[in-house]
Amino acid sequence: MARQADSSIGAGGGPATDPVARVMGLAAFVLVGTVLAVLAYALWVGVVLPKTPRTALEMQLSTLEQVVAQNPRDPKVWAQYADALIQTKQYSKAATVIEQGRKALPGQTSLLTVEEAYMAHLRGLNGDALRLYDKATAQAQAERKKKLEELKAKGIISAPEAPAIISAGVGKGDLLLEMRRWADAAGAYSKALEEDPRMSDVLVRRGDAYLELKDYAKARADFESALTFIPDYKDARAGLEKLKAVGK
Amino acid sequence: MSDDVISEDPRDRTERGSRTRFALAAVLVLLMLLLGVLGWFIVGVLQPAGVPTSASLPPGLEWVRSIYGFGPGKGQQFVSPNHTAIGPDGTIWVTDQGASRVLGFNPDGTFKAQLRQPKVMQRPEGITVSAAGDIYVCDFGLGNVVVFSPDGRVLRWWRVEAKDLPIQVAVKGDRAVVTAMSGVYVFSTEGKLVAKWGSRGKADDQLDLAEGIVIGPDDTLYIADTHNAKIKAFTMAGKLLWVGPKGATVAPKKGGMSDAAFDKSLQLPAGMTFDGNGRLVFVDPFSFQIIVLDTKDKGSIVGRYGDSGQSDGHFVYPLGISYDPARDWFAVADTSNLRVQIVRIPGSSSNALAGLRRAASGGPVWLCSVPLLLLLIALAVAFSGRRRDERHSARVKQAQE
Repeated sequence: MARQADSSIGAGGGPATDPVARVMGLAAFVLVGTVLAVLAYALWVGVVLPKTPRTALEMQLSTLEQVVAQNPRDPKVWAQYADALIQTKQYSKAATVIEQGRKALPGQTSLLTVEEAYMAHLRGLNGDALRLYDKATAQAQAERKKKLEELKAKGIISAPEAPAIISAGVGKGDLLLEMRRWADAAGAYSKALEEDPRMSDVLVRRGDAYLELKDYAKARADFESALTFIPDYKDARAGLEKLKAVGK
Repeated sequence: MSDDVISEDPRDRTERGSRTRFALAAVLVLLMLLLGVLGWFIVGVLQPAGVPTSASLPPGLEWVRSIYGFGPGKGQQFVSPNHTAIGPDGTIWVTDQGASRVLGFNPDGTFKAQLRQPKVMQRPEGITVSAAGDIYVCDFGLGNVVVFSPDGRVLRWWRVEAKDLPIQVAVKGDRAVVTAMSGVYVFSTEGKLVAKWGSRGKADDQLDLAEGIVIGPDDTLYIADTHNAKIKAFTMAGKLLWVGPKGATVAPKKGGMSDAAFDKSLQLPAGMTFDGNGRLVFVDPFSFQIIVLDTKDKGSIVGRYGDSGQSDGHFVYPLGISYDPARDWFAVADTSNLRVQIVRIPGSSSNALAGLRRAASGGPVWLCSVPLLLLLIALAVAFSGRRRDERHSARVKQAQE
């Protein structure tokens, strides 16, 4: 009787005779097959290299790649390309493009430094980002000074634009706002607004920083100023509502 | 020797069997994890960069994919995608007027075919696909209607009247109805003229550049009277049934429209189609929207979806639209964004299977289903095995006693 009972489990109860173990072994075999099939499918459809853009951002990247090839002397194009790569989280490619841009445009690297700072910001390297935003501002000021001297030598009196000062100021302000360093954020936005005081969105963000600092008069001035440029600006109206809510 | 094996303690054997099963279960779990990681990696790679989030899309609109062409080169991308038509097999056909061609794409967005016939087709405009899969194209340059087989051969072509230009075509049964600059032509699908009616103008029974036409189940013709900003219903013989949309007002020459008036009115209705619930769906390039009309209520507007913009899920002057009932999605010719967008809107399908497919394709559910199913099977096997072991142990114990 004991011999008959034992025969159902088999000698040693090993996987060769245990029906449960056999099923589990089969399942493992099927899983390995599935893994291999998925891998084969991935290789078959060529997942690594999509042939054509599939989203607006991929299309933008594809276009910018071509524009950079056509205008390698334009720093704005390099910065836009790096920015699009950063937005798609292609950080290593963005770093390569920034380096290539620096080599192609010696002496005009401030916009690329802003992108490097933005990348550090998105990667959570706040200290590096702040340092790079300051570096970009200094580079942009030096570039402007040089341009001014060149224009002066030609007899042209003009104040050349320095978009990197604005971008660095706004980027730094946004980061400091995230870090809840309200006074520093307001200071950074102020530097950007010195270059272009009509940026309604930056006025609203500085207004928010003043609101946190309980400097209600300055906050109101910023929100109202933003509304003079965009009368129905929702965020500016929301700022004024917040002031109303605190009785100011 | 044999007696030694038999005399081995059954509890030892059961324990050894349990250990084997435990090891196998561990291997199974590891393999499932590996499959999951692999699936996650592939989904990550397959997922295009910059896919719009639901928060960034206009309310109600679901974005599936955008098609910009069939390659990275300039000649491989759309020049001016005007109208779309979806075949019975899901192929998305697009007239790319600026490049004098019709491009076909598989439902997954991959390239299928290019139709070029410069002798008979120079400025492809309207397009439709018959139930048999034949592709009917209106050529606005030469004045032809060209019929292609699904494999891209020219089956036949014919001219509408001399000096007239065809704009859009609809096919049902043995009839091909063509809107043209001077009115509406009813042809047999072989190209024999059966009737011609209508004229160009602003009156209710006239048309001015009709960019959209579909034939209803009762053979009613629904026409987008584009420049008159109306949707009109006619019989096949040309009798006017109604003019929509219900409650629409004409934009004043000076000043703007109120939001309420705008919501009831059209700006420039163009390509149209029916959805799975029999609703009339068309695009309005100047509203940058997909608009849904209830034909039973003499053309009242029941939904508006979309907004202007270049990001995915937004439109700039969309001209054409077509519907795929099997996949419950629309292919919109987003003309000025130089792309075709595959989108979905609420309430477009009455097909439960399509709804299920839609839910499954909405996320990585299909990828998780295989390991999940295997895990469930493994758990069921392990559970039943345990129960069997318990019963077996009880029997052994009973036998020993």
